[in-house]
Amino acid sequence: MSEQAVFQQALEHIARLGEQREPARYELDGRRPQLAVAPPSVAALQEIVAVASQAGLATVPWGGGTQMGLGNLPRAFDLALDLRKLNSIVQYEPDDLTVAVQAGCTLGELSAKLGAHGQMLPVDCPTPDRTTIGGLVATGLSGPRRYGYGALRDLLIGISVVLPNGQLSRGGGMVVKNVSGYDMMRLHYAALGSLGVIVQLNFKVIPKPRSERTVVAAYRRLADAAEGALRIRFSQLVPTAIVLLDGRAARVVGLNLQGWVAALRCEGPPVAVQRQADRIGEAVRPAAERLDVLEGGASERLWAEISGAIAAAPLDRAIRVRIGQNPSELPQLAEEIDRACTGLAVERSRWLDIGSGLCYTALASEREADLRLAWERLARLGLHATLLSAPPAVKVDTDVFGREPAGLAVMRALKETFDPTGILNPGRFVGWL
Amino acid sequence: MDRQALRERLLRIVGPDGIIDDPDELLVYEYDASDEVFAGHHRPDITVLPRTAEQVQEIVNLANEFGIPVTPRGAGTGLAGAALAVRGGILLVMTRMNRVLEINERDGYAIVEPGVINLELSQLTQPRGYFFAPDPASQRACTIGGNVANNSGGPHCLKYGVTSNHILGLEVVLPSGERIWTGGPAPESPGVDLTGVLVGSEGTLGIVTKVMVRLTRLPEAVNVLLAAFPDLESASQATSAIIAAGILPAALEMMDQLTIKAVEAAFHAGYPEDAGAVLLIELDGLAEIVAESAERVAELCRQCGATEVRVARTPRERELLWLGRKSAFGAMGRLSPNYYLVDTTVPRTKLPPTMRTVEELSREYRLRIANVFHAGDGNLHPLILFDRLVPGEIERVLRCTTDILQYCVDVGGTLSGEHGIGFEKRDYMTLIFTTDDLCAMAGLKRSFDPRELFNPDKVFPSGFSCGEVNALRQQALAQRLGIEFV
Amino acid sequence: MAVAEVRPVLHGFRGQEIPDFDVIRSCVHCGFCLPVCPTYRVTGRERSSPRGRIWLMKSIAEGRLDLFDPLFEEEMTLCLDCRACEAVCPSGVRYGEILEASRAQLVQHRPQTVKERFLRFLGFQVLLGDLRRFRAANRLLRLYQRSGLRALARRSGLLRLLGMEHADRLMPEINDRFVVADGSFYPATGERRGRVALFVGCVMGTSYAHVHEATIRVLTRNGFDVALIDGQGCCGALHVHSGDPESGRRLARRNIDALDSPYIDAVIVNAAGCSAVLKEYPHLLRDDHDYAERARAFSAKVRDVIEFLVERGLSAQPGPLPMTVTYQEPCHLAHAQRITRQPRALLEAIPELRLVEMAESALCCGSAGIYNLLRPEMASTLLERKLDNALATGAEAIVSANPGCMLQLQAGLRARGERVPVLHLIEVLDRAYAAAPATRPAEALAAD
Ligand SMILES: Cc1cc2nc3c(=O)[nH]c(=O)nc-3n(C[C@H](O)[C@H](O)[C@H](O)COP(=O)(O)OP(=O)(O)OC[C@H]3O[C@@H](n4cnc5c(N)ncnc54)[C@H](O)[C@@H]3O)c2cc1C
Ligand SMILES: Cc1cc2nc3c(=O)[nH]c(=O)nc-3n(C[C@H](O)[C@H](O)[C@H](O)COP(=O)(O)OP(=O)(O)OC[C@H]3O[C@@H](n4cnc5c(N)ncnc54)[C@H](O)[C@@H]3O)c2cc1C
Ligand code: SF4
Ligand code: SF4
Repeated sequence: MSEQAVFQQALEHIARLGEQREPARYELDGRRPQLAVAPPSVAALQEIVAVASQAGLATVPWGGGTQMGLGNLPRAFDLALDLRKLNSIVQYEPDDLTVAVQAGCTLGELSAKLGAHGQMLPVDCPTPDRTTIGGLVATGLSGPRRYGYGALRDLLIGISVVLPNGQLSRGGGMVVKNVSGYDMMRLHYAALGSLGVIVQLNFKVIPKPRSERTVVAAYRRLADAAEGALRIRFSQLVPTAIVLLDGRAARVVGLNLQGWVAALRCEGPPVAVQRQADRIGEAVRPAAERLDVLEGGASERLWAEISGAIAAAPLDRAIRVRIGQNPSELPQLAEEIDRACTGLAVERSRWLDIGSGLCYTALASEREADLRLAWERLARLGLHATLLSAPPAVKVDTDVFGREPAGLAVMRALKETFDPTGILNPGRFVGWL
Repeated sequence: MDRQALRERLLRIVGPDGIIDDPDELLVYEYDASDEVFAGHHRPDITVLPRTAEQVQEIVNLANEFGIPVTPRGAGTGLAGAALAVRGGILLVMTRMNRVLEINERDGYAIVEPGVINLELSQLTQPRGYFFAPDPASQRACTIGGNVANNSGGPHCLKYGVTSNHILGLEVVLPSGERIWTGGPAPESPGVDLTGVLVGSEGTLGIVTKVMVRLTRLPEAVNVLLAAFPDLESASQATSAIIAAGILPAALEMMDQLTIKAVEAAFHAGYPEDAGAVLLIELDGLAEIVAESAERVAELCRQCGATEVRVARTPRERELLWLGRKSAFGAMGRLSPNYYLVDTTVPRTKLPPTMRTVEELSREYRLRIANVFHAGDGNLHPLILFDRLVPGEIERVLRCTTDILQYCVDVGGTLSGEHGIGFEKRDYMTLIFTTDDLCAMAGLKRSFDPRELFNPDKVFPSGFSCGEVNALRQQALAQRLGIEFV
Repeated sequence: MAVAEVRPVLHGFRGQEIPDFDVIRSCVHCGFCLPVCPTYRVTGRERSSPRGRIWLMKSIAEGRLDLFDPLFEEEMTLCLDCRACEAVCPSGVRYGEILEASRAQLVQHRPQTVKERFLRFLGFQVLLGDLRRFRAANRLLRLYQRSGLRALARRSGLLRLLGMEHADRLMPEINDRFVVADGSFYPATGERRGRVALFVGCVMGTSYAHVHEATIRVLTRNGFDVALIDGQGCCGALHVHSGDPESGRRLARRNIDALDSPYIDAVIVNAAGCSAVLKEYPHLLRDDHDYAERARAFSAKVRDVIEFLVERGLSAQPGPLPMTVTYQEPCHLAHAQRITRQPRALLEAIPELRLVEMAESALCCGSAGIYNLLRPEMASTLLERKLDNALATGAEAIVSANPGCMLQLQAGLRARGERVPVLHLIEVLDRAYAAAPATRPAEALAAD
């Protein structure tokens, strides 16, 4: 049988295994797949993936499609694998604070179910009705709340993945403490679906705080804002997120303030939240131009906005970059970013996640060449840099994951072991794996 | 293997003081803290004590050249036989690499060598307002490297999370001989999370030569409560009630009557001896929250039938309450010449039926079983007391262990909560994992260590191999589809 | 799971004083003791750890290692018998007991080296066996120290020949006064709270006579009559620790005979090494028909002076002593008797005195009875480490509570040219009392 014939036969076979979708709605960096299909069951998915692997079909797992901006340009794109039919909540034990959910379930659905029992996954999201749990884990992007609650990875207690050979492989379990076997959760977390298709995730969930407040302080100078934020980080106070925003970034998330803005989030029982917000307010007040406290819904909305602004949604005429750095050195990094942009026709906004040690910057420009140049400069800053999203032209011939990570040889070996024919998100992951 | 040549080469790397190959002296490297009855004696061919990461790298290169296994070892406090050189070869004792290289107070991390002792790191950072959160009961002896390899837990992991949550980065020597730094002080470095994969891999994927740990700020306030209950059942209910109320204690530990009695006899910690079970609950955080939660916890305990609730007011009182808990395993050693510690986790709500089952099995097998465990996260530690010189006891202990594990797995639990699989528990892996699951894990191992040089014969069931599974699966698929893949 | 063969076969140890296999196997090799073991901390080798040593004993018991294996003898003598391991062992392994039995095995079955025999003869049989002879020898030593004899011996290399260089360096400067158990009696000065007997011992009675005097002053001041009952002798610690339990038993019986009196409330000891062994007489004499029961009753009355004072409380308020000190834990106080809180409590009871804790205060200083004579290298490594830690505190005095430790520290300080004094805790307390307003002038205690 010719290669082409195998290819066609495989596609036809796969088309029968799931519900077909309109390929035009699965555009990735300007490319469309030959086929888009939504498998109705894990068994169907296993067979689809096995066939795709044998036939060498370039396959892209697809969740809500909200974060497809992250990843290198695909080497090829034959098959979009829409996982949203695998969307059940498999097992929820409110008293154990654990939940098992299929990868295609949206964050919105899951949150609604958890919320009914006063529980949550501590992730903020501007598009909860589109974002899938599988996508959350595959991209491994977590917002500023990781400071208070840890990254989603720390809440992940079990995983099921369909490997390219069709095997269903599980790791972990439904208990909150488990060291039986290797940590397969961490293997797949943030691996961008390059080693397997995630079908189920088990989490420990968190009691939803009964109230929240955000202290918002505006400063004229970055140094003052940073000094206040770092002082809180170093204290025994326990905010769940600390972010500094420059003026433009503040406006993007709906805060009409000048200079630099510090946003500090407190969550917990009402009395404690109030006292903590007071104490934080007192500590950051001296050098501040202005101090506001957002309560309840207003606070929640601000953080959803911030998460949206720093996410990896596909962008035109703009790029978004994330740079890792020691929290205490983030202010300096913000200035380096400024210097890197000199001479370029770009508008920049910066969010410094002081709690976690990450800086996000969005650069907008009509000139793709300037965006490209800006990325090349930013890619050298901090401890690591990632191009979260960019127009395809900017992505040509660059690794959006920045500098070559240590251990790439092992990552390559992992890719070759799990995906020997290289069909899953081909070329999109770090080092074009 | 040319022993003489190997010895010569090692000598050049670590010097005479770094090598032990006298067969008699090697006797003291044939055990770890696991029970020898179950783990056996395994003498390495040679023990090597490196002082630097460079030396470790050279040793690994040598192992590759000679094709001999390397088993890393910390303080040898592991309970699963993971640090035993079951296939001989080199036993790499990491305890001489024990320097604290950096403490960064501003950004809250430290870089240490793997041989640093867990408690010593916390003691060192405490005056600066920080501690290292994972606190296994063995913390005064075990090494950070061992904690990393076993992803160790401890009482305070209920709130702060296990070791994995506190490791920011690792310098490791991989089986290929490559030495790399994974992770770093800023999170989310791109690529596969090698740090996350290495933590808990029991020395089978890489040898850790430096560790970047997260330091946790000491809480503003701490409060310890001791609640006495008539039985395990009511104590378990209180546990669930506290968690369900949305309170997350720093630690929530349970002890049964046998344990209380033993602890009292040995240490006079002042536990109520007539209680059927006690809960030790530590709350920490902001002063306001701690005070409020403490009242709430006391109330919940009483509602669940607590006969007495005590609050430690001073650091000294706190210490005393903890002393009993921390010395509990040891106190068991006084009750019986041998004990076998089963480390398993069940969903928290399954604790009451699990405790009942353990009790029934204790009667059925005529073995005394003491319970002292991390109730907050459902991590139980039934301690089966026995005497290996009594004929037939060992077999009963084995069968009892299998029954306990099987029950825990049946109610949705797992094989090990914090001590690891190692050598001792590897054959139980098939209780929770299918061949496919294990094949994927084997794939991970193969990607790191294709020659199986690092800590062989651990984690995977004896005789496990999945080479043929794949080929068969492909044939079947091709037949079914009528497609001839190229 | 592979189940190892059960191996109840016991051989290897033979004759008298066989280490109790049940004690050996009560070690579950958990490793908790490793970080506190001085020899392990220095060498980093498992064989030099408590767990390793117990495993070696076990291997001999199970016939997997030969009793004559040099490795075993090496480790049994390298061990300081400081018992730090015992204090932290959660399983309650009675390490000191099996170590001493193992040493007794070696003494029984191993031909001794010249050096050891010499020391054993000189140290134990001749000197400590009989206090009168000890005092006489001490006078000779004093003569030796003062006259040119010492210089001659040093120059002639005689000491080196005998492996005694270290012994010479360690030799205490002998006090002019001796305190002798001659039946003398010192009545309580304040309100009378009880009557105690002072255990005089050997080294304390001679080189540290002033500490005895201080002890008597502090006790009487606190309302206790103090009796120096005659007939008592050396405690036997050195004999027991080095594998000669028979001599130890002889001395124990003598002390029990002398001190077992219904008229005293407690036997007070101010040398931690002695108090520790006096408390172990029941084990030592466990198989002695006539003495087993008496030993239990006797030991129940034994108190280290520090323990006793804290137990009974100070009835007199010490005066202010404005100085900074650091405290060096004697192993036989901290580990063998678990007395760690009380010394600090006493120091803290002294107004204006500041206690600065040194790092590793519970790590052995390397003295360990006559260990520093037998294993000079390890002993001096540990000593240097101890001195570094102690001096790093900037203290004006190092406080301890055992003559062996004090000798060792003093020798080390002298060699370094340091002027920091080493004081017994009771001396410090005594000075504080001297500074107290209501103090009567200290009475001269009759010497000799
Ligand atoms: C800085 C930052 C912070 C963020 N913080 C938060 C936060 O706090 N809370 C929050 O909710 N969201 C947050 N997000 C957004 C969140 O990461 C995305 O919403 C989510 O990853 C997208 O889900 P999706 O279903 O749309 O994935 P898609 O856009 O469909 O897919 C994303 C990638 O994952 C792969 N993928 C998707 N599903 C699977 C699967 N089942 N198996 C294998 N691979 C798969 C795809 O191939 C694709 O490469 C943040 C994003 C960023 C950049
Ligand atoms: C009484 C007692 C109580 C205990 N309590 C707890 C508890 O509460 N919680 C808990 O989690 N555990 C507990 N343990 C188990 C044990 O102490 C921990 O697993 C500990 O982390 C082991 O550390 P170690 O230095 O002794 O490692 P070892 O036992 O020497 O080795 C353990 C594993 O780590 C590997 N390893 C060691 N160093 C390195 C390195 N540098 N690089 C790579 N691999 C390495 C070894 O190969 C082996 O697989 C207890 C043990 C005892 C005896
Ligand atoms: S602490 Fe005790 S039980 Fe543990 S190894 Fe040491 S002696 Fe053995
Ligand atoms: S007595 Fe001291 S030196 Fe000997 S093994 Fe115990 S701790 Fe080590």
